[in-house]
Amino acid sequence: MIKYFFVLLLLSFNKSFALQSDGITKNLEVKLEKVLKEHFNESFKQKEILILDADIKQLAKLNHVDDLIFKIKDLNATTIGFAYVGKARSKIALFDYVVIFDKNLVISQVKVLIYRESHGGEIGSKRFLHQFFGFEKNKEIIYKKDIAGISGATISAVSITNSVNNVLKTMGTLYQLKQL
Amino acid sequence: MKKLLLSFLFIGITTGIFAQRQAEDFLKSNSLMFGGYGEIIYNQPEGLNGKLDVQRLVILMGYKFSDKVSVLTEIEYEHVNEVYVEQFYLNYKLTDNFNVKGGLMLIPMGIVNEYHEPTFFNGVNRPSVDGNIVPTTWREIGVGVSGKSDEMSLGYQAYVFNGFISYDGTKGYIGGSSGLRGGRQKGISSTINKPNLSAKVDYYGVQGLKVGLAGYVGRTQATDNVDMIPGADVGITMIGLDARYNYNRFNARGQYIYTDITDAVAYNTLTNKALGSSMKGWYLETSYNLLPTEKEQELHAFTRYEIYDTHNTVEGSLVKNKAFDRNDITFGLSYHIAKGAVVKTDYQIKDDASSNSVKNQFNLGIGVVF
Repeated sequence: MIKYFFVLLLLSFNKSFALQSDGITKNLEVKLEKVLKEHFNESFKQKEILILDADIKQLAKLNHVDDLIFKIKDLNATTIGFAYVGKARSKIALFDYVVIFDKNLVISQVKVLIYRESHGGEIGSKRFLHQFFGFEKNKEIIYKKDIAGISGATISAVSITNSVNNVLKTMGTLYQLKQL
Repeated sequence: MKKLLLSFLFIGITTGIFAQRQAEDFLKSNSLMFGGYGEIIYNQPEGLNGKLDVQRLVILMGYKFSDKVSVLTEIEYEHVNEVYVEQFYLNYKLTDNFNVKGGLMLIPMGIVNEYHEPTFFNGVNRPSVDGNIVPTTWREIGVGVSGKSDEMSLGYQAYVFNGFISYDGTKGYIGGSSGLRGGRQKGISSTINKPNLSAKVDYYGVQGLKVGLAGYVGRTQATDNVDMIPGADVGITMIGLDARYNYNRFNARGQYIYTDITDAVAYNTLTNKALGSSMKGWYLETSYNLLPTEKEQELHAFTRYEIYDTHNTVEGSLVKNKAFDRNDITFGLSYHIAKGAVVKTDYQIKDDASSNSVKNQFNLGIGVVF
């Protein structure tokens, strides 16, 4: 009897501390939808999460365990682009960003969705992020050569450059593996 | 009895798993962040004994309570045996572009006071302007707002801070040679009777360029028993303009700081501290990375010219001390052996407007940020 009581107690503990497993928070979802609507205008109808097998994920080497890739579709359910939603590190926290690709896997937009600390937030600047536009899958971006940094935001600027570099490799691998 | 023992064993195992899962969840949440920076220096003035010093080791801890609320702390060891809290503030992010902050914070003035980690500036020692005119590391307890506009590439900060202490009935804390430096209260049982205002705007809308304009206005503080005495406090107005530019392997930066001080005559009469009525300083620095940008390592050759005068103007019977009108030429190398680890060396040619000879200095140092 005592044993069953403790089992029930432990089950209730585990239930109350259960992790959310939807992968994207409501706040992030709202910001992502806004960016997609602004970018694709009327063409944007829906986003469809790309479900990857564990072995594909391993080959594609996603930046962060919580990163997600979406197919962007129009009214006819035709894929018009892709959105990579990732996490990268600033000085003391993680920030969320999205890299939007056109259907040819060329970067057409990069946005910082959630930045969680007061220092380094300059990387959200439209002018800074515009430098990533036009790079395509598998290309390597070199910080300070291809991307001019922002003084006072070096850690975050290097971090997002490295992240976008990995995103380009990941998308290249997924394309090669016919996952897109 | 056997059943009871089995039950305890079961609880032990499952709570062990539970604790481990909690730890994993905690790590996965990335709520707690550790970091730090430090620098060890060797200063060798010509003809004098050198100095070896663990100048500072700072441990940074940040904790994110939620996406909106976070705290940042920095505990600093200076010269091994002095312990300070360098920063400790709570940040409440109300919107993407608007934060409210409160606690012990850095005053936004010039470049190095806010960005003083050793990999972020050339030279073993911080620029002399950021020491004598801006009394870096200048931090006080305060409250304010900060934010940015991604569309306009603009950052802003505005705070109410506690001010410098000038007089406590026994001595004056600010003076002729080191200006306001001795008056920093650093959040150590600070006295406050007149809050000060501080603000800065940064613009980074031109590729590779960042320009900042800062202002600070208020009065110094005096302790309760003496704050009504004429000259116990002085008025301070400081303005600062700074710029940083990088293009591929070329970097340049510069800043100009001007400080106006009112009631210095009464203060000098009370304390005999030879405080000037205005101070000013500026520097210009250029550097070039001698290694290709594709390399992770960077080797920056740099030159900096700076002028700083804590007796820019004087009033009353005070005679201007020409030895306080100083200039330095610093040139050397910063070898970034990895992101966050630097070895620096430089030589400083020092001079002032007096007829005294000033010792030049060789410097060597290592710095880390992690």
